[in-house]
Amino acid sequence: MNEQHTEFPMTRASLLLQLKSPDDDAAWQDFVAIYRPVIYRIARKRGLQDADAQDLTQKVLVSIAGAIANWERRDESVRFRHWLRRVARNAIVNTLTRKPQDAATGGTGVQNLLADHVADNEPLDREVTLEHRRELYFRAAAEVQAEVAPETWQVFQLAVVEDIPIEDVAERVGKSVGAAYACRGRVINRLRNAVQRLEEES
Amino acid sequence: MKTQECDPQRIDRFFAANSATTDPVLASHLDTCETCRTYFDQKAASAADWTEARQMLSPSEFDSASIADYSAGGGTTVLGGANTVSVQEVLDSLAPTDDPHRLGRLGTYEVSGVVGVGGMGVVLKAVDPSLDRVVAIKVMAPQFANNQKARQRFSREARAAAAVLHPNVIPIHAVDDTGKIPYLVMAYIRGDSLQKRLDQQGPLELAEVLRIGSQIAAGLSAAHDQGLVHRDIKPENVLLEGGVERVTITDFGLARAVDDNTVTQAGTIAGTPMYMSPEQARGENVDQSSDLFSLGSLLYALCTGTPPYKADTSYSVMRKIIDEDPLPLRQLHPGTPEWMANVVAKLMAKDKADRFDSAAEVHRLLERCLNHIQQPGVVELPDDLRNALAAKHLSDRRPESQNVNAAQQPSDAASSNLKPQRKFLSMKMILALLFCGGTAAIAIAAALGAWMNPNPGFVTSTGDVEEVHAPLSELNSYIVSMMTSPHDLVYLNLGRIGPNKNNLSFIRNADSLELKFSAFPATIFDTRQSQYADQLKNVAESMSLTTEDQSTFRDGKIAGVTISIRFTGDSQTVADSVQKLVEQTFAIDGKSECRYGIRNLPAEFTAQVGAGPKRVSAVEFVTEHSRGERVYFGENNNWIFLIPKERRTESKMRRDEDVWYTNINDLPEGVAAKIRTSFVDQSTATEAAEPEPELKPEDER
Repeated sequence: MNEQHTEFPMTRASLLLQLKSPDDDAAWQDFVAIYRPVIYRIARKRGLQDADAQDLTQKVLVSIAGAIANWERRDESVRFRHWLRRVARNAIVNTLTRKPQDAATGGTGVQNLLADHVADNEPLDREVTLEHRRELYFRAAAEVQAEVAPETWQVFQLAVVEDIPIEDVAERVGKSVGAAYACRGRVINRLRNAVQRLEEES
Repeated sequence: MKTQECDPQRIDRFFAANSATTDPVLASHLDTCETCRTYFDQKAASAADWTEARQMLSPSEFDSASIADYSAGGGTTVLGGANTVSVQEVLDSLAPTDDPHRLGRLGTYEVSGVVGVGGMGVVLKAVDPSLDRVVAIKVMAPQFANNQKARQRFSREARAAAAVLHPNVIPIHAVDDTGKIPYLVMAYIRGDSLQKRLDQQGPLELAEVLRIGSQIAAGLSAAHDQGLVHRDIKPENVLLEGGVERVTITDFGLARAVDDNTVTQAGTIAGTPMYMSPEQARGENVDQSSDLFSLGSLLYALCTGTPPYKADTSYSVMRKIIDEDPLPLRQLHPGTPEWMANVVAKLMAKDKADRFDSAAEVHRLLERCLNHIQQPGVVELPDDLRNALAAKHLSDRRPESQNVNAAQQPSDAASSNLKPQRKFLSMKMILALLFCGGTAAIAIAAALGAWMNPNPGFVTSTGDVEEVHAPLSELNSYIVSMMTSPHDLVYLNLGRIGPNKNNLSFIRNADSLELKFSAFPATIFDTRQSQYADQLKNVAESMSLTTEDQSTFRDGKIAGVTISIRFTGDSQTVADSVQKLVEQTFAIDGKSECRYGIRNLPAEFTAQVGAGPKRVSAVEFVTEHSRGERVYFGENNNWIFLIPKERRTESKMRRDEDVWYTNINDLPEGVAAKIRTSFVDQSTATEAAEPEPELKPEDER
């Protein structure tokens, strides 16, 4: 399942040349894996259809990839992944809010997309943060689901995600209420830890 | 046994390890102990974490279909497959029928065919045997039928639409959302959608636009009264009942009650975003005034034959809707009167507050306009529209003033198309102009063109050419629109290329388009002109176009040459060739601003201003000089002038942007009289300054 993030169709070789260390390469791979669905979902929420949302996602990712060439680790304190996050945020906000740039001034207007002087767009900012967080949850959920017994996961799914009273859940899966509590607690605890870890990593 | 006693440390240990092993003792204690349950849950995760987990992992609409392929996890609620609705699946789900001519049975309805496929379902044609009437049944796609949210939305559509009883809203006969696959039964309308009409016929007649528009507004008004928003008003969703000119709004698929917050963002993924309102495109809350915006876009499309916002992808369309104003309606379709363009513009205001107050108001307004069109002498345009027109003309020049004269101007004169009138400058005038010195060079160029090439296509003094400033890249679309609509692109002025302005003229023939370019190197023109002529010919020949050149003789000598190039083919091909030819010949890129002369735009009248014709409203013309800024200068052989006060004593008047003149016959009725009246007031001041002989353009006829 985690192999999906290698699909980014940019010529990998050329991209990797730009990345200065294997750490950065890994960071980029993780970044794409997380941000592709983030951008896609934001685009869909704005009413784009599947194909258009994919186009837009691609456009943003390509623009970010293009900017990697410009990235210099001038300051050791700025980590590549932090820089990526900022650039991504700018690219998303600009792509979705800015008027089309004059096409004749240089193809995709990559620099414009990534420009730091970003239109102030708080709602969209929040959305980016929210969708990023959601993606971390999805990944964490996938991890935890793989670790626990299927019934345990089911209890969590029903009781927390679908908000069904725990007594009903217990009855449905054929467990005692206490056992259902234990399942639910175990999953949320692991989930929270996983999200925390992913947040620190990214 | 301690097992039934509270043991918080046991809970702590449980989470510290959080291994796969279970703790039956703890579990059985939790079966009964409220206190430990609370402690247990708190240890598991904070209250905020619980809430966040629920929010984050709740299935959203966009987790379906392809998002499942993208997201690493969370795929617990994947809906079946992509968003395409399988007709076959719907048909397979039908009950068998005894009638061999039918496809199957749904409830008691005998299904005879498929009418269409929509976003969430399939529309079938069927017979209702109990009443023996033909109905249309909208069946929810099976892959959505298991999705609770989708079912809710479907039921809501049914309830919403069924609640609206109005001749312009499709009647809902029955709803069944209890079975395995929900469906709703509607009237079957024989006729085409408005989209089909547009595709087949292009722009509609104004009266038809108004008729259709007022009926849609009436239907919307009824829906709005029920607290509904349609959310997806577009030509596909408007049916024209065959023969009877009745309009029916269909597909309340996205309609939702305004106070229904259960499905917040649902429905923003409409099929086409081209008629979406800016607030919809931004994903914000949508209310009744959004429908008014969509209605405005629809009217724009009916007037021009093309939707106001177009782009390759729907997100570019949406971004345009949010950020850009559409091309002025009258630029695309000059036959549309200004007041109509104003109505559409008001409907399409970016800010909700700037639109009309209600669909009912729009309905009344459009109906009144329709009556006006049908009985111009009897029914006047609604006051609002007339006042808006007058106010606009005023404010163009003098925003703060309230001019009584202006308000009294009959707006009907403004709205009626000017009959195409062509007047050519007389020889005398050209000669007179020739002596006027350098600043008149442009006028001379134009005048010479008219004289050398007395083809109606070459324009300067015709009374009905409007000049539009736009980049060269627009040429393509102007040519296409010229070849597909009643207005003509008459000339293209390339502006600052070389020391002279370069005019290309266009002539539309029955089966082709002709482009003409004239060069007069032997006279006052720079030799560059002839280089361009040569270049044009070379490029044209390299593109395998038919070219022709014609030398013009004066006094037995060659005075210049006119290159004609003929384009044939469909409008797009022609437009592309013209664009390529012009760009290559003059080596300029699409961004360069040019001036386009377009004829048959309805407007007030044309005054000559400096180099050429300028559209001036009658109101503007009168106001200008009655304010004393311009002085009525003279009336000679039907030509009247407006010349700025401070220049009226110049002995040799320069013919430039500040001097306006026009033929008195071009003025709308009443304007000339008004000017004469105010002339009397000022005549004592201006009498001394009788027109210089050189200034008099004389009308030969």
